[in-house]
Amino acid sequence: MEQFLFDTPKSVKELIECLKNADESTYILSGGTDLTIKLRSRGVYSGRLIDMSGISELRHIKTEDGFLKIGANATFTEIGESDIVEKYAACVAHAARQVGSKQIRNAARMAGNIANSSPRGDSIPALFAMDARIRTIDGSGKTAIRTMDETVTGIGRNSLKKDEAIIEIIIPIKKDLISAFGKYGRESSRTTVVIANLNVAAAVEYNRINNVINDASIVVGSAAPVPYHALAAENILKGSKPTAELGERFVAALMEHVRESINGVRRYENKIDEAAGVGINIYNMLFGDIITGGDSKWERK
Amino acid sequence: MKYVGSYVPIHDVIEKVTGKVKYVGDMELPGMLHAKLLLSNIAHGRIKRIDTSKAEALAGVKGVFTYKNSPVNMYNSHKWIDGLEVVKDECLFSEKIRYYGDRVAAVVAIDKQTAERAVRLIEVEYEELPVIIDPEEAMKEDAVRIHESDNVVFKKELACGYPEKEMENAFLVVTDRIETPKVHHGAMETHGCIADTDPSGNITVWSPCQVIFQVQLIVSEALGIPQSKIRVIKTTLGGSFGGKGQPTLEPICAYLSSQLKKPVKLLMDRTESIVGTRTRTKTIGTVKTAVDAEGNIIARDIDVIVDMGAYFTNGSAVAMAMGKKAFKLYRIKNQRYNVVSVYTNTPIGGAARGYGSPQIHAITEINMDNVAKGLGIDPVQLRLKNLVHPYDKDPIGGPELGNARVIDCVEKGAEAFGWKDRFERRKDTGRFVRGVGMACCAHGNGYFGAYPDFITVSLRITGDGYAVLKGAFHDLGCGTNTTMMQIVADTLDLDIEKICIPDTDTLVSPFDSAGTQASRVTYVCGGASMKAAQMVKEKMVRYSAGILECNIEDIVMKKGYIWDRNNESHRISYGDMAALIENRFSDEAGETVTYQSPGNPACYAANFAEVEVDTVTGMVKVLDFLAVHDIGKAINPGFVTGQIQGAVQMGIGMALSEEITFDKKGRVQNDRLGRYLVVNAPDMPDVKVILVEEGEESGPYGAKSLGEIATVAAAPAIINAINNALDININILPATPERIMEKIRAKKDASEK
Repeated sequence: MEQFLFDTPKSVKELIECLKNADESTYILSGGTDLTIKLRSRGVYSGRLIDMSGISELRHIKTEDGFLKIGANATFTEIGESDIVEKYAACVAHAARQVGSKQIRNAARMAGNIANSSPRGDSIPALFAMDARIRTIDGSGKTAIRTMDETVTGIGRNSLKKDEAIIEIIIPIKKDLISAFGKYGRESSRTTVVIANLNVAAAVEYNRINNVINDASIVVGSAAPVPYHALAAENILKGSKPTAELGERFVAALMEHVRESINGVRRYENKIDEAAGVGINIYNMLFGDIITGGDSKWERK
Repeated sequence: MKYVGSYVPIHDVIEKVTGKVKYVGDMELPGMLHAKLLLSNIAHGRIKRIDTSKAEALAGVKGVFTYKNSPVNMYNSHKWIDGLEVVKDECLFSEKIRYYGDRVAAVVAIDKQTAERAVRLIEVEYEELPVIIDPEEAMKEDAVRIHESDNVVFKKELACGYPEKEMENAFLVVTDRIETPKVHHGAMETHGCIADTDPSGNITVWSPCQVIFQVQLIVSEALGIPQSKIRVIKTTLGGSFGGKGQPTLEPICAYLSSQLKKPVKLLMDRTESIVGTRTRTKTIGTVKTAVDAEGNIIARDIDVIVDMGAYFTNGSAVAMAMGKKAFKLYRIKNQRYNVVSVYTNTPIGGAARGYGSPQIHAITEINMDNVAKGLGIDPVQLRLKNLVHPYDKDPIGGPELGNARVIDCVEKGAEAFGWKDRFERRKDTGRFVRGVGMACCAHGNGYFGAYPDFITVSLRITGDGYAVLKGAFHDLGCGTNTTMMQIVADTLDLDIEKICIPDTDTLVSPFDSAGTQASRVTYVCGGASMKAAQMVKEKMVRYSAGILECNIEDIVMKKGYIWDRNNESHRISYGDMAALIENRFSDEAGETVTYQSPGNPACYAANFAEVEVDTVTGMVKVLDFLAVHDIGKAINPGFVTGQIQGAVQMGIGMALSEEITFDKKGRVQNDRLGRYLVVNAPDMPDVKVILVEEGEESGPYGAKSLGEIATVAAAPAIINAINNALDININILPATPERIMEKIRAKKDASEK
């Protein structure tokens, strides 16, 4: 009878040994909340699974040399509950808390979410907005570093080789950085355990003293095959003071980006409304207290 | 009373919470084989060529079955009792494919994985036919026929008075066209069963079903073997909501086992359960309500199209059930209900909690609020003017309405909800806008007046002091057995721990005419259990007088003991007395009773909802919810509250998110729970419950039904609240964000013109 062979390396060293013999029927199990479903629906009944869960040295969440480093084995729950992720990359923590259900978050890993490369994946736009890098290792023990857009290359496609595994997510720590993430699920009022119909992550460098946005990185997910930088929305924010009027322009720009992305497909039109909703929410998370003094929410006219 | 009116935990609570209970999917029989179905991936066509050779050649495969090697005995899975006239249009495997999910083949193998692999190896070539999704398209003259008959298979009109004439004199006529969706039941346990065949060809079926005798009947018809050769054992259910009401897998599984002479297990996954079993019937209703200036309804006209899906099943029964409800809620002297049931190339309609009641009430209750809006009056006041009163007659000659307490429900509910203040509150002006809505509904208690409604139960006190109640009770997970135990325990005045109900099994349980259907369980089966307990009690009192040598009037039967009130110190336990009766009189302390339902009173509910709509995205949040129920008497208030909360969850789903959707080719787009979204815990409001317990004389301890009606008024109450918030008119359920945004835009466009 056909069956799966299961390896659970205990260290990165053992992982390298496992990766050495990787072939087309080798799969890296990083939580399994996507992989097991994929294997089942594709009728894959045999192969080799490399289970990452035994590698305790990859479970870290730490700051080091000016970077926030998240090990490939950190679960969404751990990332979502981490104070240092909240402090240095709030949008990543927000995204982590909104992935799937509690059960999913307890099992799933952000590294797996990246490798799965779903256009609806929540962590991808957040990491992209934070200019995160992905560190991998291969069967020869060689490590490599890629940007997010070098990693996620298409719908369900990534640039990782069969003998390559993600070992760490690296996020640069920037001064004055504030970030936020928001999403809506598909065609329903359900607010939790939803696969994104639209998700947006924003990371801005805002100088409170001068009251100016020095830099902005806005990434839209689930609207196109891969997440992309919303350049017009970024340009509106860059160099500006956060005001109600700026919020109007920012949200309008975000809607325009999404309108362009869906390219007239009628059944995706609700993504434009969702862009408005998520845009308002994000702008509020970033600048709401600055505009309103914190006693109410900013609303569009 | 010690038990009736109190919370008693469900009889298998410990087994369930400790994971010891065996659902059919957990059961293993020695030598058991595993089956897997191949469901069609087109919605309409004919099988041109089917090649099963590769599947058969796979090691471990024991058999592959298609229309080519299976009997073509036509049946209708909706038929639950002999003598019921039905359209028989279904067989085990068909050469013609009528919907995406139709049964093409089954593979039986030594294990599940092999069966799954083999199914992928079956090659099918189809000749595709035009696909009809829209029931109105199906009704057109030139529409392609889905069966040999016309696509319109059933038409009926119910009427009282002169609606057309009265309509002309009306102060105001409000017309609405409302669509309700095809909905998946969403029970946690997907469909499955096991069948085994003995050397004499007797078949045993283990099934999480709602009617064991219906499973027996359908297996018998589909396989062409006598009912007496088929034994059906009900397994513990992980929910049904009507979804397991009609036997879908049982005839197939029984056939596979009969051919291979081995136990066979057939389980569906979620996708198969969504596309390949039964759904809530989709309906399109057009309702015209005529009122005078004071808001009295003077006439109403309802036209309904019932989209049965690809097979008939209960296409006429659900159409009739909908119609009858329309005459039970308001005093409307002039009313016409006209219905047609049509085939489409979509998943099959069937029983679904409420059996047409959520659909008809969505149609009429959304319209009622629009009438109130047209008149400029409070919808609560409009209803109070028109609702039925206790002991009103059914205007089309249906069973008596009984102690109909819907007005109490509305009055108590409006008060507790603070309706007036919330309804008159000034509308929010920002992004998030709140609104309130309410709706009423009516439901029945069994089949009396329409179909045979009786159950035989047998109750015996054993020598060791237990009361054994045999009956075809189908606990679907909501406490049927416990309810029966409470009724019997109080009637006999015996500790509930001593009441024992054997598993529901055609070899053990006496005949029951309809199972868990039609909201009949508490009212009919509970009535039967109470009757049996009363008869056993009378019998024991009679014999006890002989044994204790005293007058019958002096016998006291209390708390498990019997004595002569003149000799209080000599107390004999029920068990000892039962043994004495057996030895002295050659009789048992038991009775078997065939209980005919005494009536079919209506039960009622009023639901109140407050919602908040995000005008930017169209997202709806249900902020508050109150359900008020005319229940007669709650046998187990804990179960009742739980039933209502779960039912409201289904109702919110129907209002906001649940709808099986199709692409142009009729393929189901949301065939998994990641895409078919039910309301989950974080989005549930705190559902408040008020019970109106005014007693129904003919029900056991005054009880009436609850399980179905509890889901009926929720959807229209929520739609009315959305309409109230935004001053729009949602006419297609569910009110998805997209549909709400469309209405918001249309309103904005209209106001700008």
